[in-house]
Amino acid sequence: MSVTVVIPHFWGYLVNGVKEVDVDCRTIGECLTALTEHFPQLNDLLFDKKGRLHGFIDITVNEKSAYPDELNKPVNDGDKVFIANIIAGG
Amino acid sequence: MEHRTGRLLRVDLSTGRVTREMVDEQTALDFVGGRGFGINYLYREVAPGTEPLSEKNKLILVNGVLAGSSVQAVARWMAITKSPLTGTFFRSVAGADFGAWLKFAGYDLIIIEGKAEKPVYIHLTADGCQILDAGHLWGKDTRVTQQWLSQQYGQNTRTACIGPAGENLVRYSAIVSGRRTAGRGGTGTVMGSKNLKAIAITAQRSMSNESEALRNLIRRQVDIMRTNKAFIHHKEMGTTETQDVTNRLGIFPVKNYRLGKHPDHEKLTGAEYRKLRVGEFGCYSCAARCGKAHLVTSGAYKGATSEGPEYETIWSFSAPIENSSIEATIAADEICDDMGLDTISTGACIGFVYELYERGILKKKDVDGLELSYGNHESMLALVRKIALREGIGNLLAEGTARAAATLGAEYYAMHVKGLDLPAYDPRGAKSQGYNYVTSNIGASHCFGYARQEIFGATVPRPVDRFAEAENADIVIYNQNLTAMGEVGIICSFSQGWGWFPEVYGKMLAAVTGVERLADLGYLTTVGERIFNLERAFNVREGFSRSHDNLPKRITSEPLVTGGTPGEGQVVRELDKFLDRYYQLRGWTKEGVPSAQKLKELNLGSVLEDMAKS
Repeated sequence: MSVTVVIPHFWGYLVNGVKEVDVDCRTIGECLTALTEHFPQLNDLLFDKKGRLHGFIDITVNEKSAYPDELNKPVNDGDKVFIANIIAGG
Repeated sequence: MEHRTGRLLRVDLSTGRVTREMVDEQTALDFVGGRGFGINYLYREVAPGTEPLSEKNKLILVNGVLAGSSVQAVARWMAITKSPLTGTFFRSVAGADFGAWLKFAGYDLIIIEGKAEKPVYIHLTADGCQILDAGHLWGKDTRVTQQWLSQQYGQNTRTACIGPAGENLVRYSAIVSGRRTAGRGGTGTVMGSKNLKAIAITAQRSMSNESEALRNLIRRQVDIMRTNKAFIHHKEMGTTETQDVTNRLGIFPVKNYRLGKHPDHEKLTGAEYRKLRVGEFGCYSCAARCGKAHLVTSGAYKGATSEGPEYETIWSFSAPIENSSIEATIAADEICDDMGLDTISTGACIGFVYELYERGILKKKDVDGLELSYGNHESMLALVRKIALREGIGNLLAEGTARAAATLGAEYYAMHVKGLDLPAYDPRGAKSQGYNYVTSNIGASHCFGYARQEIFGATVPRPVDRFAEAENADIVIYNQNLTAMGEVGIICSFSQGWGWFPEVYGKMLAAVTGVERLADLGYLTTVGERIFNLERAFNVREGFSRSHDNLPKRITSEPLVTGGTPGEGQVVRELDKFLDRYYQLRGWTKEGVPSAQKLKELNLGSVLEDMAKS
């Protein structure tokens, strides 16, 4: 099914300004894997060395957080997947 | 215990008179609590033109409506005054337990006025208030001061105090409680100018009389937080790895805002700090415990320990002088907490003097023989102490970057807005954040309207392009009003991202105050807007106008250097265009004065006359 992954603006410089990518996937994990196939340079920004999603990355689907167990969460046709940093500043 | 007591304590240090008053009903309705109460009383009671370090200035310590309850992350308190650093309205926020203890003693706020003839401290209980001799505490650091007061009055005592920096009237001195500080703007300096060393509160922690409605809301809050990833991550790391992100974004300001990325950023990461962590601590009724304590176990700084540093301090004692020793940063943080110094302005001021030294504007003989070459952290630590004690070059730096620059004819290198040093986000790569510095009512504060949208990619109220300028004026206003409405609570700004704010928060305010419309976010936003506008009116009355809503020339003329990360070559280009749009959206005149129509709309008609004179 077709899902749109929105690339955060702060990674825009890594992907030549591409803002979103349509991928064919059934889970968030598959969506992000498809994204990193398009843009391998995003792999280290999303995943740690053991392939787990970084603690400071939050994934939302249609503006709702997918935490916990994000990578196994199913997605539906037409969903929009957002990536955000959740590190607090101050 | 009632959560909004409606009571204020007024302490006149000149006469020794202590009075208890009730907050009037209209104030309670219009300003709700916390920061709202603070600006309301400051505007009414501090006359325009008052010298901040004179006995005519007032220092207001206020908790939030929800302090002392079982609600999570609302035990913040703030110090509000006319700042000796900026000359503006100022509010500085702190954590730990003091805000809850003020509530347990039965008060929403304390107004301190006048000046004691000799050093004193205030001891407050639910039964009374005494002004006592503090001669033996004068000169003592904040740790020793708090230990003595705890020994004197027992474990149910919480203290807010100043250190030697406040006594010496360093213009950016902090008020310290536990190891948390109301750091910015010189609220500790005002306390020192009144010869007030400390306020100790002895009170019983109260099992509060919480309504069923409030209890249900707390259960909902906790349920939301328990599964919120931002909360869970914050609990684990605090802000000790924010520099990993800001370096990547190219907005970690290095060498007095000449670079946007630290050359040795891999030595400063959250993972490196994690290796030195020895504990964690938190505020009253907050499960996050986001304060992370560190201990240096080897090398020249062995034994240095701090209940921090958090992100801003990680920055202020590394980037300004291009230091890559996190051990030196921990040591500097410890000294600042002991001495009662704002870490941001201290580090920024030191970065300023290092640049002057590099450029030959200051010679070795001018800086007490110190070698101020980049990376030299021994000299950085020496300067921290000199500033606190006003020794040698420290006496000039204690006046703050803006005043020191004016004395030296080096204004170009002073990185401040309205006298408040810029914090750890470069406006050239985070422009809404930068425009918040421009228009904030306290100068360049990162937490007066934090642009979560452009730094962390938050999508509420809408995604933004962090390099866009005037078109994001609405975002700057949104963030500022949201912050103000959160600070009637007073919620911790970190908790804004934990899923319960603002909806559950509004309902909690309504449950506690009985004012149903506080659950309406539209009304609550209006409260935030009212507070922001009254603060602006205070500044306008002091002579601030459009020309003061500015940025350092470096930010508007020197392209950002990031070494190839995003933001390379950026400058802030649209200041005038931004201000036009921002003022228009705010309902202000072209000079940045709140219009009569806006003031009436916000039920601030009483300040119309003052604005007409401006």
